[in-house]
Amino acid sequence: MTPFRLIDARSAAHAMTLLAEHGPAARLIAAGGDLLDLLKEGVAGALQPAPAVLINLGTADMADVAWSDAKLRLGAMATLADLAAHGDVRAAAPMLVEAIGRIASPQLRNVTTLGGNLLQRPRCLFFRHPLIDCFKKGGRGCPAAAAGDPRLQPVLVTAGPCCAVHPSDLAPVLVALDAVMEITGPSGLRAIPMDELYAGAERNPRAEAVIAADAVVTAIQIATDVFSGQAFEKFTVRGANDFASASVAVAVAVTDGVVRDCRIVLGGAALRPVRSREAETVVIGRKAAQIVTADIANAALPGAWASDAAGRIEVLRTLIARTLARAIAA
Amino acid sequence: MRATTPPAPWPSDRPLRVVGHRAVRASALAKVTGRARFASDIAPVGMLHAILLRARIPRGRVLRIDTAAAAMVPGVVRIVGPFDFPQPPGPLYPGSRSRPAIDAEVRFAGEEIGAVVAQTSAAALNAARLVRVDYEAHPAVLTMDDALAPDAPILGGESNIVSGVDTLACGDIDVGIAAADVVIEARYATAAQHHNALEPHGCVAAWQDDVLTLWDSNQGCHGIRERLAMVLGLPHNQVRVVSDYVGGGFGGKIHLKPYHVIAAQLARLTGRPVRLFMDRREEFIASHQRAPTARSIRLGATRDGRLTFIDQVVRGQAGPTDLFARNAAGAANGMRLHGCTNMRAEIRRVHTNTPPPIPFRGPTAAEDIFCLEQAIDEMAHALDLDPLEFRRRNIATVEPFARLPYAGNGLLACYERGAAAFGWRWRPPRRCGERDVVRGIGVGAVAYDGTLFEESHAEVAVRANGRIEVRVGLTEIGCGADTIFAQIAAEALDVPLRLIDTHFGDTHTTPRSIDSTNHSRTTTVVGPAVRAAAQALRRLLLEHGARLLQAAPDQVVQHGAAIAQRDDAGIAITFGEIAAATGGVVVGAGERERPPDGVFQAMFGAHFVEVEVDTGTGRVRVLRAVCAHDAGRVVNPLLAESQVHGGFLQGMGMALLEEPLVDPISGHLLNATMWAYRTPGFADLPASIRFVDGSVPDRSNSLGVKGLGEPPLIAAGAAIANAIFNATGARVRSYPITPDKVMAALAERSRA
Repeated sequence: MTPFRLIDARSAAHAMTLLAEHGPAARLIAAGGDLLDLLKEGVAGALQPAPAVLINLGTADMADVAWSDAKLRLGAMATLADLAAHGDVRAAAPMLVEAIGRIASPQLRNVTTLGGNLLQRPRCLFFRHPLIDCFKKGGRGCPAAAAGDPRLQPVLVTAGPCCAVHPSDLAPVLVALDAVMEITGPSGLRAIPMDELYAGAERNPRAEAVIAADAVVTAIQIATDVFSGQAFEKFTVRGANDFASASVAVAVAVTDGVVRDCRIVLGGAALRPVRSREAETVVIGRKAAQIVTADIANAALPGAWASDAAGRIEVLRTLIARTLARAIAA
Repeated sequence: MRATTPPAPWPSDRPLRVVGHRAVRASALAKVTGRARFASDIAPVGMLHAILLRARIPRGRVLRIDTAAAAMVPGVVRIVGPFDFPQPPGPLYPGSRSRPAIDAEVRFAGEEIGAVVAQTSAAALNAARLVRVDYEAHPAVLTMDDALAPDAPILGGESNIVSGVDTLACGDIDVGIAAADVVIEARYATAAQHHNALEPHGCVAAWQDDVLTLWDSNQGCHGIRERLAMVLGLPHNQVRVVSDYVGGGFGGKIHLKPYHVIAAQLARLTGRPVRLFMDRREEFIASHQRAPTARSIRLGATRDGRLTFIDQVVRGQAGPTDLFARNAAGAANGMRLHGCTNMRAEIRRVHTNTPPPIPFRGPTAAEDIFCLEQAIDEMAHALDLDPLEFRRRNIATVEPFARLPYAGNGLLACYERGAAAFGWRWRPPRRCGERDVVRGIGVGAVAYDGTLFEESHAEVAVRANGRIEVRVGLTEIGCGADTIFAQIAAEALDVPLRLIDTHFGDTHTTPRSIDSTNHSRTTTVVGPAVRAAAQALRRLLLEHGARLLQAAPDQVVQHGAAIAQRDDAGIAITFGEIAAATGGVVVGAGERERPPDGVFQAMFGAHFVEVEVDTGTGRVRVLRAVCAHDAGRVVNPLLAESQVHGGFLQGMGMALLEEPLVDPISGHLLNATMWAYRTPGFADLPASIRFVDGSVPDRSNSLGVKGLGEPPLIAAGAAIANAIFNATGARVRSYPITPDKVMAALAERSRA
């Protein structure tokens, strides 16, 4: 690990000042759950250039959870454990709490943050290997595509050269809740719908999220009382401490026994959470009691998707059936 | 053979006083309080830190090493490569094609090509990343299929098959085929498996004049000392190996490795102690691995359930040289498991540019029996028989190669006691609905060759303070050698266990009890030597005691931890007092007894498993397991349970989760990390793993002991695979049985 200087930021504004002052050699660090791994493992290229200055957001007073009109504003530096224990979060976004419970381990959830989870880099084994070159690390081509093992490729084939999947469990959950990401930049506050955060991720050589290098993610806002039923399921090979091979987040708005609105979002399938609009369309307008979740699941993931992808398409259908059933029953 | 005549065998019809009882592991408190010092903890004054440079291509040569940038890192002391490394006088391994510890020839990605030594480990790591190496890359073969392709590059000799085809046979295979009413045939495969011991490989090497002290994480201090002395061209007494506590081995730490030699030479070169330990990513390379295998098995049986033949064609991945190739594949233990007259196995060990296979708990036997016990299960189903009943009808009485009776075969006891404890009630597999979560049960057995005899020396001593010390020259790797030899000595000497300490792990202060702990043989090899040493000590104590009590030798007896007058127990002298009066310590030395003729020692076992399969995702959970084992005589049931728990979980990992992924283009191991190479975690544990003692009397030594380290892993895999079949009607013949394979098998079943 090349030596770096650690500077404590007093606030988001101060962090931006420091970023401007130190230029491309400076990076923000939250808990360091991902960043320190990349540095220690010497995944050269994943951090370009190698950071000489790390700006600590832990001291920047960005961890608050507060109401803002009818929206719940979650500070980007709130730890996963704190969010899962927070009464308002538990009441307004039970799916978020459910997802947090499946992330990593209690030790990691105690220190890692909402923002860090959403901005973590892919877990592609080629990306994470210190000696293998790839597009995301500033090189050319995709060694995962070249290797040809379907287990190491995404379920949804996309346009760009990178074929990793996004490892965050909170990303599909927040897309399903229509969450908005609050980003503070030199020209002021911007709000990006979570759905657009990872636009073009497979063609972006530097990162997955559309955030400028001089900006700070300060909060996530979720509207509450919109979706009456929520459910999240994560499929992992190991019982715990494992990244999603597939995940599904479902949110439904049911009034008078009819589904008025629905979000079905797939995780672990591509470099961005993917809304299954084909399945959503079938569900909206139907009587909740008449929905056969197996049929919806089979309608999702039509032929445009990748081949079997080592059984993961069937797994995604299973997760859709189960989350939809739970969300409707809630 | 310098063995002694065996003493009277311990009784098998009644309990012993100390042996056979639960005793807390002697090192437990030291380990959980952090007082135990591992080689990783050693830090002599002036110690330098070394890190290895490893090849980035799978095959070829190092042309040039550019250390200019690396040498500028503050704190760097020395950088060596293949052209300037001080090679020791002897070869790393005996044999003609041995490679030096650091060499320009590269035979697998990650092979050692140099080292950096620095004041701190951070400096060493930073410098290592700045070293530039130019290679001449040659075409490599990374899998057995690659190696056997018609235009494959040949790694050595005439073909990529090591030493031709190895055939094991007994009886007449054609007679067996003719006698079969039902024949089945199928192909099976096992993947490589990494040891992942918690403590990585490594050592601290320090020279004092011409004497080397090596604090090392190994499985046998005497074995490492002897091999290292030979390589360095030194007499044994100039190499001292200290391995007080070791954080796991599982077979990976039996052998001398390049890092031992490199650390010793760097310490000599720099004149300072040198610490050389692997990080976790390197540990996947340094430990090598269990070899991947592939086999086809054909079985025949009569309609009433008697096996008539077993015929196998087996391939194993052997790495780039002949060294360790025997670890690539085997079939012998599978052939010992059931009574079948006509058996044959053809084994091909295939050269590849991958790290050579080294033993991993049940080496070649786990791979073999994970597959064979599935084939046996398939035959039971073809015959419409309960798989347990089919096995009961085929118990072996004679070892097929030596043609000798087993000194003890507890397989039937394991079947019966295990089935009873499990509540085994078999029913055929049922069809499951879409996305159902279903349950099933399975059974799998194990046979594993034991060790009848090896030379072993032990000492039992009494000190002036009354403490009794067992001295055994071995490394304790977690199996319990720190505890059970004290129990054996306490039993033999007829004193309380609490009076006894065990000293091990230092070649300078222990007799040579064993070269290395492996093959589940430490208890059976060393135990009788400890008993002999305890008896020798007692003889000395009686002799000295008589003299000190001024009595005739036949007028004194042992009375607790003292020698007393036969007719007046009040006139006595304690062991400690005897020691004080005779120079401070009395030492009894013993050797391993002679083995009996005409028997073969083997361990047996049977696992019964219940699983739950989610047919919507392919995920398998092991719900519970009952593991019955014949160990001859269980010395310590508490430690036996630990062995069974650990072995079962490693077998479960091999069966369901663990698989190294190699990039077919670069040859690099892709998942050399704990998060990406999946070993079982807490959320994967079954609700219970229950050890059932299926031991029957064994006459291979006077203690009646065999071993228990490896069979619990070997039996686990097929029991789990067979339970998956029972739950779903879908069979997966390729390990690890990951969810994607279950989904594929289910899809195939519904198409059929």
